[in-house]
Amino acid sequence: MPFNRGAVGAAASALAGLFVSVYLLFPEQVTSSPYCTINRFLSCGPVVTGEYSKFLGVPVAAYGVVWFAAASALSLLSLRGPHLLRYLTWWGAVGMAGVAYLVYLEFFVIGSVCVFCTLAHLLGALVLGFAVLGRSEIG
Amino acid sequence: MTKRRQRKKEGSRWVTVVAFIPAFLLVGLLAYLLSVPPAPLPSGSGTTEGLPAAEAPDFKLRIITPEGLTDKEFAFSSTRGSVVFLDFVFSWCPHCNNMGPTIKRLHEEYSGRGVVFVTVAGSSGSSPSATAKFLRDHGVSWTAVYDERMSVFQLYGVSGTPTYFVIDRDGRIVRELIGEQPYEVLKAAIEEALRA
Repeated sequence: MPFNRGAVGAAASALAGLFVSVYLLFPEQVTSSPYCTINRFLSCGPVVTGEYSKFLGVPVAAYGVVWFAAASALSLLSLRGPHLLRYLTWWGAVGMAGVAYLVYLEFFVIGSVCVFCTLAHLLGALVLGFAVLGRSEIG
Repeated sequence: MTKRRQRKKEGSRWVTVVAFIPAFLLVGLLAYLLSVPPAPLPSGSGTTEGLPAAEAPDFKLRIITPEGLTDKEFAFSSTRGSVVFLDFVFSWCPHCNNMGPTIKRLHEEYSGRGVVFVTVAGSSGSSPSATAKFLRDHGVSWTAVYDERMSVFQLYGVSGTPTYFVIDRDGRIVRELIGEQPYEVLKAAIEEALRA
């Protein structure tokens, strides 16, 4: 059976996203990185350790870990069962709604943008893109 | 039939392109973020001597206490004639939190020797309530002010926290120290200002 390119892309993006979101669970490490504080606006400190770094008492990064873990599982399973890409597409859409809210918070509420968080958002967006691509391949 | 299939295929191609739009937008954002040249960081142990003998800029900010933001204003000019230990922090900054006990120990040792301690708390990514909690957590009993517009951070050229300025009795900056510092380094800077 030929590989579904979308499923492969989604799996790679989801696994990379899982790695980044696990890293974001450790704010001390993140804020020590030379790519954290670039200037007052591009600074991950207010994002990963500030008021909005937690939702319902749980670090936002933990939600990212759960989202990427589920996306990784779905995309890996869809390598063998491409019909699962349908669920991955919906999961991706849910993720993008969350990303839109987080980007809004960064720009308009917190006033700082975190490069690592943006990388995680990008990988989430790629999961959605590849899931749709994969579905188009199976017709 | 073939036409219908072709139309379906075309539609599916467009859906795929649209599905990648968030990724394209985020690639653009990430490229923009990474193209901005990095600035010096509050590394953790970096020590710099900035603005030697430069006059400490005057400022006025509202006082914040462990209970919250007050309407009272603090004028930096009121410290003239005293050695001042100026400490720039953010409530969310892990390094500032790590330094809390060290600054408290310095205050216990030097407030009796006439050194005035002033904490300037930034508002970026913080709030008066989060800052008040920071003051409570670290037992800040000295003057703390809240920089609502980040204007004093800019005035002093603070690019990372914590940043400490030690100012002599004539209002000149003796030392600027960036990042977490050992107690002995801060103590030596204050002693230098007391001798000046």
